[in-house]
Amino acid sequence: MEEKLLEVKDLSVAFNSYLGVAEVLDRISYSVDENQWLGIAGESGCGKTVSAFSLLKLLPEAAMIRNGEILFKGESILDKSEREMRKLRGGEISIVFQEPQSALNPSKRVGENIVESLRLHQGIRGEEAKRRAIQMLDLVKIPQPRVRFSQFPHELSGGMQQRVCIAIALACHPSLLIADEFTTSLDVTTQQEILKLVVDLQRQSTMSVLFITHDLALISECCDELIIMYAGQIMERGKVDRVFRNPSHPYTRLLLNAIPSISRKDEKLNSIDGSVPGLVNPPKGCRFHTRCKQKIPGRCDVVFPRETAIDETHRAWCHLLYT
Amino acid sequence: MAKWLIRRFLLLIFVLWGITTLTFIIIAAVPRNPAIAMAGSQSSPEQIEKFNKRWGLDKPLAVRYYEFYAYLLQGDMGTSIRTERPVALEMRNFFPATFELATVSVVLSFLIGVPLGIVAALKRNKWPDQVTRFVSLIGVSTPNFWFGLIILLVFYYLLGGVGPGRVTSAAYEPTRITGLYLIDSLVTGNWSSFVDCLRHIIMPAFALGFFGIGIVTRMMRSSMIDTLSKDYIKAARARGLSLFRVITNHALRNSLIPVLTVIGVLYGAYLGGVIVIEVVFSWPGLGNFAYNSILKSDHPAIMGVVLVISIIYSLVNLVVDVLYRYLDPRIKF
Repeated sequence: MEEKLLEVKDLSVAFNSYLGVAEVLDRISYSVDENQWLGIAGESGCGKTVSAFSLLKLLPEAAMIRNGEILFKGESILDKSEREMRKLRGGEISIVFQEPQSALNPSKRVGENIVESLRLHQGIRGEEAKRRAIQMLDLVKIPQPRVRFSQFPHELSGGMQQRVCIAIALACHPSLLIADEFTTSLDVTTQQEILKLVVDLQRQSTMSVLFITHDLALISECCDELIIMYAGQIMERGKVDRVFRNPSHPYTRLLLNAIPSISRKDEKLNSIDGSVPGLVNPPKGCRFHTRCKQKIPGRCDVVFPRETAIDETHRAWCHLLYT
Repeated sequence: MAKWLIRRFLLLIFVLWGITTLTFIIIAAVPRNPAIAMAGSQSSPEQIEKFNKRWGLDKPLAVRYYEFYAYLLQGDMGTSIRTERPVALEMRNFFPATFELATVSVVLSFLIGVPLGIVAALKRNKWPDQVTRFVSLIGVSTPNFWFGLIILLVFYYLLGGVGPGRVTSAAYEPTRITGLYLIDSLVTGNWSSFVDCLRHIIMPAFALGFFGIGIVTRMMRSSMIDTLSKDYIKAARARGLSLFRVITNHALRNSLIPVLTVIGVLYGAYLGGVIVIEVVFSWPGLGNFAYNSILKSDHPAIMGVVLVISIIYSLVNLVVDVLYRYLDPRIKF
């Protein structure tokens, strides 16, 4: 069996808040292979971003990792020292954020960020670093990279800013790119361009991408596998085409149903009634039971369902799948 | 930029005109005759009339107002009634001492306040934050003359430090170039003089600047906390930079912008507050001169002090505005 690039096992993360302890991630397990796109989908506040930041060990101070293990290239991330983590961040694992305009330091010329990463991780400095940085800007298809290098973020458009962020993230050839809603703040046309850019860049390397989004349509365009998360729990996971063709969890079905379609002439948009529950004292058992129309009283609200194999890679966690 | 500077200078002239006019009106409105202040309350009416005639105080207000500007435009700020020397000369003598004191105070506030604020921001709600909060609260709420007296009592009287004034004796005075002793002694390589001046200035500068240390600390703390919550800080951390590097390379510059505003305002507060501190520490500066001039209702001298302080204050704020541009490239003139 080939070695996994990233393995997350039974990860639980909680946050101290003034309301009490919020159980943000509840025994999450997933893995990323080399050269793979994994999509993590879910509504806002379901723990997608927290799971990404725990990979970098950059959670806010209020967060506690309660339980679990994260293995990156076979090594435990949770056991690594801060100094070792700093090598990993930006070197092996990079992240691209949702809003490029706030992810770039307003008082730094955009190219300096790339130079900074190159110096930190590869010890390249001076003219050589600048040359490499301009090369990176060129790679992400920024016109006139030489001019752009010494411009400030506010002189670039949103799409250009996001390209810069991607150039920074890829500067040191990471093995894993975390794309945290990285197209959400862009308009639809730019979204497609940026997504295509990352797809192309990924194909040229062996890098894996962890694509965090709430947009299932985007996942269907680029991901190999996907994970459906709800309120800090994984509901379903599997190959994208299998999950889309045969959604096995009621939540997944509702999500897919909520994608607007031109061919369906529905009167109104489909939506899921209710909202994500608070994570301080979350619902017992399967956290989706409060909004699930098919819930089995006495079971769904008592114990979390066990894993059910739909096919060799497709898994779902729902009481309805077994009796 | 050039256009903006010209506009700012034109505005400066307008501001100075406003300030001097206001001061002129206030002086005129105060029912106190310099003749009595100078010549004594037992003076005969003839003596007072002679005095008024000599200093032009017998002329109508409008004429005196006009003459003030007419002479000022020729570089003549009039003659001090009290010292009988040209006001411009007195300014040249006294101003550097005050400018030096206020500048050292500002530098102290900055050098102490900024690191304290950063520490407080990083250790938010833990003991270092509580301690700096307490210290800055004391700094902001302590009247500086009282603080100055306590410093005098402790460091000069009880611990036997250096005495008041700018230097121990005339022997320590550096060759006059700018009148700023610290700079003059450095430029001429006069080390013993530099050390003596530094020892003399540090206490009054601290007394004057304690207030500012408090304000700068609080300002730096909140501004740094705000900056640290920004995405580009997270992004920099996620790129593998150490917390120290993130602060020096990414957070510091952006958090300094609000602090810079405070520094500009502080300069004004120091130039005004310096009067009390200079009297307490027998500092031979503009504040002491202003204090004595006000006691004697020395009209030309008061006008001169106000004019010089306003010019410096406006220029300092002009420099602050230029520095904004350096700190934040989004600011355009």
